[in-house]
Amino acid sequence: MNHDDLELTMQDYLDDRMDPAERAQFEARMVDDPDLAAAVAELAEIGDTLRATEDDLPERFYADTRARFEAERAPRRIHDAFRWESVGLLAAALVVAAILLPVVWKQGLFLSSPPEATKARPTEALGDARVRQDPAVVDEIRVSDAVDAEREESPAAVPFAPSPPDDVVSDRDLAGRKDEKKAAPDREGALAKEKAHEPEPLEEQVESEYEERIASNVPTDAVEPGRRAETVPSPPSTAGADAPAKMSRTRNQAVAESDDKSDAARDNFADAESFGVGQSFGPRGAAIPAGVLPESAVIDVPGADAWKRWLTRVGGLGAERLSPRFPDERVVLIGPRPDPLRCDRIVALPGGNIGVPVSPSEAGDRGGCAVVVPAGGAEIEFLHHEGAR
Amino acid sequence: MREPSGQSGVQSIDGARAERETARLLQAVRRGDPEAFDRIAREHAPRLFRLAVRLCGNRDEAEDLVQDTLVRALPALTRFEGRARLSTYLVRSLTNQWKNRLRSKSRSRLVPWPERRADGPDGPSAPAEFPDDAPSAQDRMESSDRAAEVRDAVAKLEPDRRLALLLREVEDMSYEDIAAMTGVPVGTVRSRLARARRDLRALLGGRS
Repeated sequence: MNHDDLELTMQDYLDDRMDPAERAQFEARMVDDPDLAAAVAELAEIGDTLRATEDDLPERFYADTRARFEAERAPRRIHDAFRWESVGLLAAALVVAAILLPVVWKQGLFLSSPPEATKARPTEALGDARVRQDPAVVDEIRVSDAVDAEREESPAAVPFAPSPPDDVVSDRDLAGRKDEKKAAPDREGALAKEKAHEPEPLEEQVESEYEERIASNVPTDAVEPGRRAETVPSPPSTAGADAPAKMSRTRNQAVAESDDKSDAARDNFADAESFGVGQSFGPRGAAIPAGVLPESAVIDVPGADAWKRWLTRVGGLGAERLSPRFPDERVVLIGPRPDPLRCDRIVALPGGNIGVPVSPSEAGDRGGCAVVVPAGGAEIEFLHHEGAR
Repeated sequence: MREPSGQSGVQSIDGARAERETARLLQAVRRGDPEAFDRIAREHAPRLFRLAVRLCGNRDEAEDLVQDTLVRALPALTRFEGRARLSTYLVRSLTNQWKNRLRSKSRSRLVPWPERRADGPDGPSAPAEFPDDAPSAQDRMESSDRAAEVRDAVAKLEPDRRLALLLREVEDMSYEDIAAMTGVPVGTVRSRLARARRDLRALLGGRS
C-alpha cells in the first residue's frame, strides 16, 4: 500500500466509510503498527480540536449586521414604494384622461387654433421698436438668435459638463459672471459671452484647476519628485465639496481656531482629532474601491485591532495595504456617500496640508477610502469633483 | 411505549411550527423587516461564524464574511424549502463569498503601495509588514494553545482542501453533500480531504 492509499485508508476509517470487515482488518493492522495508530489518533485529535473550539460572536456583531441590513434595504424600500406609487399615478391619470377625452372632443377644443400672438417669437415682439431705433441692436439680436437656434437644433453639440450643485458656486464661475457683465454688447462680445457660458470640457477644467493649485500653492519640496503625475488621475476640484468634505472643513476650521488656546478651542481640537481631522497624511494612501462604510464621514481608528476590524469590514480589500504603526500613525476612513466614492493617492497641499482627491466611482456599492496618517497638525482637504463619473 | 411516540408527535408539531415561523420570517426579511432579519441572523450566525473563523483564519475577517453572507443571502432567498435547506443555503453562500474574496485578494494589487517604509525621521527603512490570512502574532499570543495551533495550520492549507476539511470536520457534512456544495465529484472530495489531513499533520509536526 503506497503512501496516498494509506492516507485514504486512514481517512475512510476516521470518516466511518469502511464496511465492518475492512474496519476490523484496519484495527488489527493498527495494533501491529504503533506509528499508524499514532497517525490515526493525531488526525482524530485534530478533528476534535477543530470541532471543539468555541467562537462566540460579540453582541455588537448583531447590532452592526442589523444596521447594515437596514441601511442596504432602505433604498430598495424607497424604490419599491416609488414604483408602486408610479403605477398608481399612471392608472389614475389614464382614468382621468378616459373621462375627460370625450368632453374635450365634444367641445372641439382640439380644433381651435392658438392665438396668433403666441406664435410670435419673444425676441421679435420685444425687438420691433428697438430695431427701428438702432441698426446695431439688430446685429446683436441676430447673433443671439443664431446662437439660440444653434443650441436648439444641436443639443449634442454642447459638450457634456456636470452641473454643480445649486448651492455651490466656484470662484471661477463668479469671476466669469463678473466678466460677462463688463463685456461690450457688440457681435464679438455676444459670441464671447455665449462661449463663456459653454462649460469647459471636464478633463481640461479639472486639470487646469489642479495645475493652478500645484503651480500657485504647493511648495516644490512639498511633493515628492515624480509624484505629481501619479497623484493626478482623479479629477479634483474644490468647487463641488460634498457632505463629508463640508464636515471635514468645518472641523478643520475648528482646528485652526484652536490656536487661541481657549478651553472651547481645545475642546474643538480634541473633537476634531477624534475624527482624524487635523492630522497630516504620510506619504501613503490607499483606495478601497468599494464597500460599505460606517455611517460617519471621517473616522480615525486609533487602535491596531480596531483598524483591522474596520478595514476588513469596509471593503475586504485594501486592508493588507495599510500597516500603520500605533501610536505614531493612524488610519482615517473617508465615506460613506450615497453614491460610490473613490479616493486616489493623496497629494501634498500648501502649508503641509494634505489633499485627498475623491470622485464618484463606478463601483456597484458604496465606497470610500482609507489612508494612513502620522500624528500631526496638518489639515485634511478633500479635492472632490461632484460631477465626475 | 406511549411516551416516545408522544414526544415524537410533540417534536414534529414543534418542528412544523418552527418551519412555518422561519418561512414567515424570511418573507418579512424580503420585505425589509430588520426584526425578522435579526432573529434569523441570531439563529444561524454562530454556526456560520464557526466555519468562517476557520476558513479565514482570523475573527475580524470571519465576522465580516458572516455579515456579508447574512445581509446578501437572506433577502435574496426567494423560496423556502425547509430549515435544513436554509442552513445549507447559508453555508453555501458563505463559502462562495469566501472564494470570491480569495479571488479578489489575488487580484487586489491595483493600488501601488510602497514596498519599504521609513521607521522614523532618521531610522532605517524596513519592509512593509502586510498581514496575511494567518492570525497575527498578537492573536497567537492571546491564544497560544492547541486550538490556535490547529487553526494556524488550517489557515495555511490550500483553499479547496481547507474548505473540504472544514465542511467535513466542522459542519459534519457527508462526502456527497460536500461534493454537491463544491461542485466536484465525490472522489475529488475524498482526495482533497486526504491531502488536507496529510498537509495538516505535516504542518503540525506530525508524520507526513
